Parts: sequence; C-alpha cells; structure tokens
Amino acid sequence: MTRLIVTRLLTLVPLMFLITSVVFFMVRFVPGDPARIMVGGQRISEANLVNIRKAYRLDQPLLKQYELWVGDLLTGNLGRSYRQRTEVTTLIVERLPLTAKLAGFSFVLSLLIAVPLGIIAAVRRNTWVDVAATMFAVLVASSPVFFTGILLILIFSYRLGWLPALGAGDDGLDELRHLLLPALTLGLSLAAISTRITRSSMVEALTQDYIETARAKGLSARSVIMKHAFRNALVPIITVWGLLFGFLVVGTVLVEHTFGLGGLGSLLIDAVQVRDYPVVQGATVFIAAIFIVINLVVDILYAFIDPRVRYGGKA
Amino acid sequence: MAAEAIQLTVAPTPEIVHSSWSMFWWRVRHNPKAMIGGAIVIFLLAIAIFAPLIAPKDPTDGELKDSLAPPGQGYILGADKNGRDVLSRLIFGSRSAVGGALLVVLISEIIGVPLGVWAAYRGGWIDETVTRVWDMLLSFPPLLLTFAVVAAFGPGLPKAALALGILYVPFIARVVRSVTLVQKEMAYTEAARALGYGQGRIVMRHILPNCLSPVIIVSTIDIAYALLDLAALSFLGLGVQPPTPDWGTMLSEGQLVLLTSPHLALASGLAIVLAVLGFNLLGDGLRDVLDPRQAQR
Repeated sequence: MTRLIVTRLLTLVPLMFLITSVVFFMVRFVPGDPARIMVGGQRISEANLVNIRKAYRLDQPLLKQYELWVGDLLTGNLGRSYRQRTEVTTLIVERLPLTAKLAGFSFVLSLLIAVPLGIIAAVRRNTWVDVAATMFAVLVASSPVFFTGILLILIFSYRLGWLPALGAGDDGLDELRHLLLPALTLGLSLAAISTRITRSSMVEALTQDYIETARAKGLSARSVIMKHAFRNALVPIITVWGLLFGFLVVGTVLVEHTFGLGGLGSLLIDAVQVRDYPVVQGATVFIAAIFIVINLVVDILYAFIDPRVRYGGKA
Repeated sequence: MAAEAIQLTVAPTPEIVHSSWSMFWWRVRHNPKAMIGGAIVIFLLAIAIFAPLIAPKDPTDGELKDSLAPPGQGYILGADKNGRDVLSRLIFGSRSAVGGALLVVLISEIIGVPLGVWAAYRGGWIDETVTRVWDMLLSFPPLLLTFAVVAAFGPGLPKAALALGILYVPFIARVVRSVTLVQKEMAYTEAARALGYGQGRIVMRHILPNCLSPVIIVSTIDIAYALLDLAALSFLGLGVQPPTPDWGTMLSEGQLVLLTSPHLALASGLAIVLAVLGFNLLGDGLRDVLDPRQAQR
C-alpha cells in the first residue's frame, strides 16, 4: 500500500511541474513586454513599469525568475494581484469555502441521482426505464452546464419562484437555499456521466456467474443486486471519479459564473477577463494542486476497494 | 425451437454485399444513432456553409426600435437587445461554433497523428516520455489551461482554438499510437519490410489507413467536446468577440434578459445542445459501425 502511494506521488510530481512551467513560461513568451501583459495591457507610465518589473522579478534572468517563483510556491506564496493589490493566497483562502461547498453538494446530489438511476436501468435493462435513463444521460451530457443552469433558473426561479436565481445568500439555511440550484445544475451534469458508467458496470456485474450462484442460493433480489452486484460494480464507478473531478473543477467555474457566486471559479474568470495574470497563474496552480491530490485519493480509494490493484496484479 | 434457431441464423444476413463501402453504408443505415447524428451534422454543416443564402436578415445589423421583439411578426425567433434577428444570428453563429470545433480537432490531428506514429515506431525512452506527458495531460481539464492562455494572449476564437487543439492532441495521439503498435507487428508490415520498402511507404500504405476508423471515431466525439469548450469560452466572454454572432455569446447576452425575453437564451442554448448531441450520436454510431468489437460491450 505504501509503495502504491509513493509511486503515485512520484508520477504526480511531473504533472505539477509541467503545469506550473506552462503557466509560468507562457506569459513570458507572449510577444511584447511581459510587464505590460502582467497589468493587462493598460496604459502605464515608464516608472511604474520599472516597479512592476522589479516586483515580479522580470528584470532577472528567466531561469532565476522561475527558480524564485517555484521557491515561493513551495512556501505557499502565490504572488500578488496587480488589480486587487492583495496576496493571491489571501484571495484564494477567502473564496475557497464557497467553491468547496458547491463542489461537495453537487457531488452528493450527482450520486443521489446517478446511482439509483444506473442500478434501476441495469436491472430493468431494455425496458422503457432503461431507455429513459439513457436518454436523460445523453441529453444532459450534450447540454453545456451553463445552459442547464439557465434552464433551471428559468423554471425554478422565474416560473415557479421557489428558489433564488443569483448570489450565495447568508449563512446557514439561506446559503443552502441559494446553493441548491447551482449544485443541482452541476450535479445533473455529473450524473449524466456517472449514470452511464453505473449502468454499464452493473450490467456487466449482473451477468457474472456469482450472481447466478447468489440467486440459486435463494438470496433476495435486493441482496443480490446491492451486496453482490453493486459492490463489484463499484470499482469502475470509482475509477471515473478522477475524471468526474476534472469535470467538477471546470463545472464549478462555469456554474459560479452563471449563478453569480463569488467562489474560486469567479476569481479565476474575473482575473482572466481583466488579464490579472498573477491571479490567473496562482489560481491555476492551486486548482491543479487540488486536482492532483484528489486524483491521488481516488487512486488510493480504488486500491482499498479492489485488492487486485493493491497487490499489483492485473485486473 | 428448431424453427426459431433457423430463423436466427437466417435473419441477420444482409442483402448481398458488393464492397466494403456498401457494407459500411448498410451498417450505417441500420444504426439509428449514426443516422440521427449524421442527419443533424449534415443539417448543421449545410446551414454553416449556406448561411448567407438562408439567413432572412443581416446578423450584425439591427433595428433598435425592435429591441427584444418577441418571436413572431417579422422575427421568427425574435430579436436581441440591439434589435438584431435571432434566427439569422443563430444561422451565422453555426459558422464559428461548428467551424471552431472542426478547427480544434484538425489542429489536434495534424499534431497528434504523426506524434502517435512516431512514439509507437521509436519505442524506448521516446515512447515512454511522450506517453507519460500525454497521460498526465489527459487527466487535466483542457479548459483550465485555456483560461491561462487567454489571460496571457488575450481573448479570441483563433487563439482559443489553437490552445484547445494542442490540449486535445493526446486524445488522438493515444489512439494512433495503439493502432500503430499493433499494425507494425502484423505479417503484411513484416512482408513490406522484407521487400525492402522504406519506413515512409510502410507508414503511408499500411499503418495510416488502419488508423483511419479509430481517428474518425475519436475526432467526431472530440468535435462534441470542442463545441462545449468553445461555447463555454464564448459564454465567459473569452472566445468569439462581439459583434460576430456566436451561440455561446448569444447565450450570455440572453441570460441578462432572461426574465423578460427568455427566447434569446433558449434559442442559442438549444442550438448548442443540438450540435453537441448530433456529433455525440454520430461518434457513438460510427463506433458501433466501424468497430463492432468495441460496440458489443
């Protein structure tokens, strides 16, 4: 187990290196003065440009700049926003809780939708239930998450007036009410992917010999489906969680923008729009780091569920 | 029982098949996903190509007095805030949406196909390094790095398409590599090598033709992803820039007037859904048709 974690960690280090290098070097290879690009191409005096070059170490050799920047990263210093005149780390820490709540809430909702739907579709294979579940998955997967959100706003906020359309609300119950539509939007999109996976891996599990054996022993249908089939079907389902998380990362950015939520995603998009490069750089690296940690956790979880992975055998 | 068995052996036999092309067409016609997806895709391509002939009005020129006119009189799908015809903007918007997505996938193919063949052929540390890098990239959402590209280089469709195209390379390269690995060990490739044919000829005559079906399948599905990613960029104001008509931009303009004029958001959103659905269905259908072993699962 320890070996698995160490090898996974070692393969994740290069990905982090790759992403940090790309975001770092890209802005320096843009034609023109990097100092001007750092401030989003605004009109600015020569004296200020000199200050910016100094502040962002643009007067130093490229590799030295990179070395210093990585050194800062390792101590948790992501640099300073030019527009907001605040530390990027401070901005991220302020915005993170909302995004984490949204992502967690969406993930739970997606499981509540996808797992029962996938199981029912697999058990009632080739019936209208199965067809309806598949059509739901295909249609929702073809809809951009922001359009799904706009449709839900139109129905639940404007037509029915049940839920607020914008903003994050105050603490507690009000926040939950405000987060319900955004989380449902993202949850539906995630569910579209995981319903298909749940269905296909349940179909696969249900055709195995041990299911026949379990049925022959006279176990109840419920026990056969949940204990014998679903537990084995879980392995492929959890494997896609890593993939789902990639989707969740981009999804939170789009959903926060659609619902006017001031989370990490909005921080990133607002910074991209005004071309506040230090924030974009810091937020991208931060999101990549979380992404990589979650992937690691999923891999370890996967090994816990499937002993074949744990002992290095081939599945 | 006996009659049933006989029927089972007789029923699936297709009409006499003359060539691999007619076989392909027979399979497509009997695959609803490929047929529906194909019809949607052809419909969209026709609209994009013949946009100036089909669109009832100028997509960028509006009558301010008709601002946010509801669907009906004079405007089949209504007008937007600047009094521009929504239908005409949708029709012209298909150009940047479908054209942009095709561009993304084309860029990924131009880089990905040679890269995949090269990695498989060279093997060793080159293969190892290249596959490591793209495996890492595959797990990372392309849109996130595109945001950084836009922040550095500024917004616009060509830049966004180029960035996405490069980030889509692993999807194609991975498939081409695995096909090449199998094909280069095949008896006829051996034979060609024994006959003294050069690497170039073997790749062109034996390897690449075998990559065609998997590349077509992956590309079709990638177009659907590219449509979604480009629409997202435009929705965020980072892709196609106004006044050029684009579905993502229209959707974001539509959200601002959602309460009073929902037709704007609905029309552009449904256009995106239709296009993505079309390419998804076509890709799925083509997989059933071109790669029956994969489709059995």
